[in-house]
Amino acid sequence: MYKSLVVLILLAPAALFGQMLGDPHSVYEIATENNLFVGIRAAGMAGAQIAAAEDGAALWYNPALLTRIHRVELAGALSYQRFFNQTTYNLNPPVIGDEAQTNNTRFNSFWAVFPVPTDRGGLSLAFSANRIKNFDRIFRFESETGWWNNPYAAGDGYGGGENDIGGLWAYSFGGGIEISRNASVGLSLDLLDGGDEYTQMLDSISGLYTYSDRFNLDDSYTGVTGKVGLAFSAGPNFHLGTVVKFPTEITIKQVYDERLEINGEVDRYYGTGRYKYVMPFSFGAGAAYYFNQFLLAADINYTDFTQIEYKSGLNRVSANEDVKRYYRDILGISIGAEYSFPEQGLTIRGGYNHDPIPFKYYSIDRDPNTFTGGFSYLVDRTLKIDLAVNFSRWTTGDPDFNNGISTREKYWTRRFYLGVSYRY
Amino acid sequence: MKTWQKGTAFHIAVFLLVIVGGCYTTLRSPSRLTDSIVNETRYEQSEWDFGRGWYYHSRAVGSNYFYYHSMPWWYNRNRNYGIDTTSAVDKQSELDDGKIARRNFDNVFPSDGTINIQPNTPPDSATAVVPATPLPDSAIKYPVSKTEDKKKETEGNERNNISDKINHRGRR
Repeated sequence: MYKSLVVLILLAPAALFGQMLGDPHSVYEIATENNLFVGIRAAGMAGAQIAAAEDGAALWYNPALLTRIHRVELAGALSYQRFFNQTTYNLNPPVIGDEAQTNNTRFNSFWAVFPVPTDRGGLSLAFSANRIKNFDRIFRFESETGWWNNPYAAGDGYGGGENDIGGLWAYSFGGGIEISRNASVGLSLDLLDGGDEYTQMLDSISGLYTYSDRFNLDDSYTGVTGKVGLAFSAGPNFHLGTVVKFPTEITIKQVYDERLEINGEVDRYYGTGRYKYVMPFSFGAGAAYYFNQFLLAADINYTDFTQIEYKSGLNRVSANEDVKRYYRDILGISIGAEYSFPEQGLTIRGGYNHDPIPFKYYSIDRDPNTFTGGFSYLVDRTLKIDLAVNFSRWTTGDPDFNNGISTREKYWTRRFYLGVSYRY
Repeated sequence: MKTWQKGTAFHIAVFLLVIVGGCYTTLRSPSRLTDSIVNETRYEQSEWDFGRGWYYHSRAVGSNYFYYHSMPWWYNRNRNYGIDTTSAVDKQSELDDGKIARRNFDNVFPSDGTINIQPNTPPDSATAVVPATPLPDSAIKYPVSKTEDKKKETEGNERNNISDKINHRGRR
């Protein structure tokens, strides 16, 4: 009895220490970042829509604003993304790798809004399918510039990287109703569905040794969330909005396979996984000011990601502790403007968005900043064509990428949106 | 009381007795089943037998004994007489199917020098024969010790768990 007690006491610090050494990668969730703008007007105005939405995107940004839509509206959009990465691998001296690029064309959004005839005030119901998170990305590093693109010619060296292909869709149902002359309220239920195909690669040539590792992880996402929004008109030119997004429960099913080739001999590994986590409440507030044909709008969004909670798949106590350690709360900012030329049927837009990365373990040198622009053209009384462009840039780093060697990873994207909307 | 009233009262009493008795037996039956199979450790996933009506069966793995019970259709199958075999299976797989995380590249690099992580070291002229064209298959089948690789690969990361999982899944 005493012996076991002594052993227990001796081991206690070790056990505690074991609990303390969490692997940050085990709690990394790609769905905590990589937000996309929903709808092309929003993409042109950097997402500043909580008080300024005038189309079906309101179902995502603030369902209370659906009451502003008095005609049936149908809309659809495509997006095209060019994603770039350049990594500085901090050997001595540091190696600046080649630029890596991946391009993807995706459906972006569809929605239908149905105003309901009422005696007084407004009521609108809506359905939408929106791509809300973009997982398409690329990352490359190499031991000497250009090695990855032609390893056999370059000879001794190594390189590798990561690919992600996928995204998250929200299927939303909801509506907005005017509850007084100047106030309206809205609700939505959002069902999430999507996937992420992640590949990790590492190749090496050293003399006659060759080494090649391919690790594929297919995550398929399902989830559910919802939100309630309020909108208030403080005079004819000034509008305010606020939205509370409920916790998002996400379930991820995983399939994993790995192919490891060393000097021509191949080993394979397979497995499956499943886990569940909950993203916390998110709060947004916005203001919009109309001055003749000019609209200026601004939003803030606050989410405390240290409240992410793992429900299964990891040791909950230590995982949730790691969440507190490696995540932070973030405040996103969107500023957008719009100017209309009614006689020409033309509207031009611009904006700026700051969308910080909540996972702080990767040293974030520069949070994602996006500059946006766009226009819409009224082809006919009922038909409108929309275009938007986004330029984003951010820089992160892995403090301990490989044996204490760090990386500095620059990312930048160019996104183009094209869409059509129809009102009758 | 008239005769027909007595008769009706009797019929109602019998009817109620049958109903109450039936319900009582039905609701009591869980404990009987629990007693009989409580010592078994594993059960096949149970299911409703819709073809037979309101029957429920479960079977201890490795035995041919089926336990049939007349259950009302609304009875929650997951309550399963206090032995929650269905959700036990779920819980089991939930525990086993842990999250497969993205890996730190640290865990991907082998430790035996297969990858020269010190690029400033001058290459050994005896081994650094760099072919100008892609290596043919025959040229890269040199024997090399992979024990270190294997050791590293099975240490500390998910792969260990995953091989366990495969075994588990193979059984199922």
